[in-house]
Amino acid sequence: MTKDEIKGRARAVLAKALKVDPQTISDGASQMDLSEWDSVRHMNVVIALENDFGIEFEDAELATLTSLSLLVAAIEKHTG
Amino acid sequence: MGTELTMQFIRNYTAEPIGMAVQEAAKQVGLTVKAHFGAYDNLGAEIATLSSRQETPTVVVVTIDLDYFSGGIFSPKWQLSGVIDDFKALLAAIDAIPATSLVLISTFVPAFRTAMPWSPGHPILGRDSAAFELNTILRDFVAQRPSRRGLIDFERIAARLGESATLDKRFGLMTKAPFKQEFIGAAAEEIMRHVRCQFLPPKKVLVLDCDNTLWGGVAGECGPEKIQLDPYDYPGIAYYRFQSEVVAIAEKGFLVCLCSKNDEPLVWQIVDHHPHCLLRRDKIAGYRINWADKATNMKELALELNLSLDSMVFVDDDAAECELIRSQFPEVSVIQVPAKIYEYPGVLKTSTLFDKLSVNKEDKERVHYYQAETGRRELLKRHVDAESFLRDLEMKAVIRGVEKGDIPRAAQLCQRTNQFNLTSKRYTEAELALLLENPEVKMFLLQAEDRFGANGDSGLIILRRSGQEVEVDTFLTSCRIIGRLLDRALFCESLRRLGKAWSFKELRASFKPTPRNGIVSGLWRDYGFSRISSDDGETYSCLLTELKISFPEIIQLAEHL
Repeated sequence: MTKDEIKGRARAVLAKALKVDPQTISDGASQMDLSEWDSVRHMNVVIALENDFGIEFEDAELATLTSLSLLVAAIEKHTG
Repeated sequence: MGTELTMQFIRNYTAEPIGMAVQEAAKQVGLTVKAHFGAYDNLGAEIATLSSRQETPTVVVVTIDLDYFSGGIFSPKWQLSGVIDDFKALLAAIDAIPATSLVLISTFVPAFRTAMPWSPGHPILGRDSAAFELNTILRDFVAQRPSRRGLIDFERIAARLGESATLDKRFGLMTKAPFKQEFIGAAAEEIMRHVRCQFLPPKKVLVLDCDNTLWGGVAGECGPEKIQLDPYDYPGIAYYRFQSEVVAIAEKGFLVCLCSKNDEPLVWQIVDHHPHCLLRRDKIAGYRINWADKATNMKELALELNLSLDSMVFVDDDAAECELIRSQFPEVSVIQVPAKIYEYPGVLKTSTLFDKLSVNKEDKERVHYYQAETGRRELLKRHVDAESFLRDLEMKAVIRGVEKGDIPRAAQLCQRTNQFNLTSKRYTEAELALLLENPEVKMFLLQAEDRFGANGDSGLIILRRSGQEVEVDTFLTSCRIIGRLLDRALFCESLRRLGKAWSFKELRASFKPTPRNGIVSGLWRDYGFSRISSDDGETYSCLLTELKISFPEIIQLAEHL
């Protein structure tokens, strides 16, 4: 899977978990600028991505997955 | 925008995901839920605050994780007796939450595994059994307060889903969010069952096909004696159990009708005489047993019962019939008999379409009211004009002030009545209980009967005093007595009684149009009211001296029936 493919899929999963339009999630989207991405929905985001990519993030990673690019990097690590 | 509810979560763990799932589910049925979450582990104080507030939330959800309750289950000082005392104190505090709020309390999820084989006297047994002990206390508590408190049965959900779909070990420890998404969805659905019962119009009619639905086999082909309905034989036992669920639904006050392509005498032969048939004729409110198409028959049944199609549930084994009803009447709920007949028992029992929070005398009698309609229809055919028909009905009416014991029925009338309902205010039992205590409000119930039988408590008026005026807050009658002048009897007699207690000269009333109450759009004019200017254009007033109606002389006013 290429980085762009991961990004596209992660964006769709993120949008669904946050219940927002995928187009509102830019490449630089982060918890800071998406009000829907609060700590409660962050759990949904993590679970949804794990289910979709068939991976499990490490405990120490969970709190650091605060933007789309960081998510993509972590997914790359687990699927790579 | 539909009804908006406020929902306060009192919790000691991260219950936000449940709140979010409730909001989503509510949106699907046109309700808006505004969820608020109290601070973690501040249960007693949060509940006490609610008890002293002027405006309380529509729904309060109290949900507790035993792991963190009463000092925490992993504390070395933990003792079952202390936990029970703390829990009972919490329940006593919950009792003080005003009746205007519906309070839902979750049961505890029992330990999925025990630390030791179950044996008496082991020191850690208490921790393993704490949830069961507390759940027993909680069930007793709720059972004694049927109208204002409810359970969200986490224990049952956990038993259904199993450990792996219930507990999220990772987020349980990391963020105090102990439940998996599957469990969260099921918990939200349990909350929604209570919400739907309180705030949405209920289903009223269950319409059943006969062959391969009420019994196995086609009666016209195998003969009534060979149908499958034997509780000691498969698949007869599946149909027998289905029928027992139908009877339970009928006893909750739902009207059961038959809609079957069949020769009518054959069906009655089974219903009246088959040794294992549980659904007998006395439980059937209406029927269409003929060879006409089922859409026509459904429409006719709705007309006959004077109920709308969206209050009906249709059950049939034939996919084509189910599709016909779905496409013609999307508002009808359709249940198709499962292909694997061992899946059939439980289909009705587990359907939330027949949810109901309480059952009263009216519910048990309802089918007889509708059966008496057949006699009235025959009488109507013999009369050329409506007045002589009404006179021949020999109607009697009792009009009485609403008392405490009448509140469940009065609330049910508010919730169920759609057609003859001028303001469609959906008062709950709790709200009516408060109105009953308000000295500026008077409420009267109409109980009616005629030569064909009783019609039960079938009308309600709520009048509110405001200075020299009296406002008609609510005025409704059950659809089964529409067109019998009983509304006038209720209106006039209530005003006469009111005149003894209050001094007033003028009446004010309104009509709030809904898709279903067009039948009463001109009622206030007929009564002698004039429209006055207002924001919605449907406010009316009338001097007492200008009322155009009086108590109908063809109705006998009685003290009791």
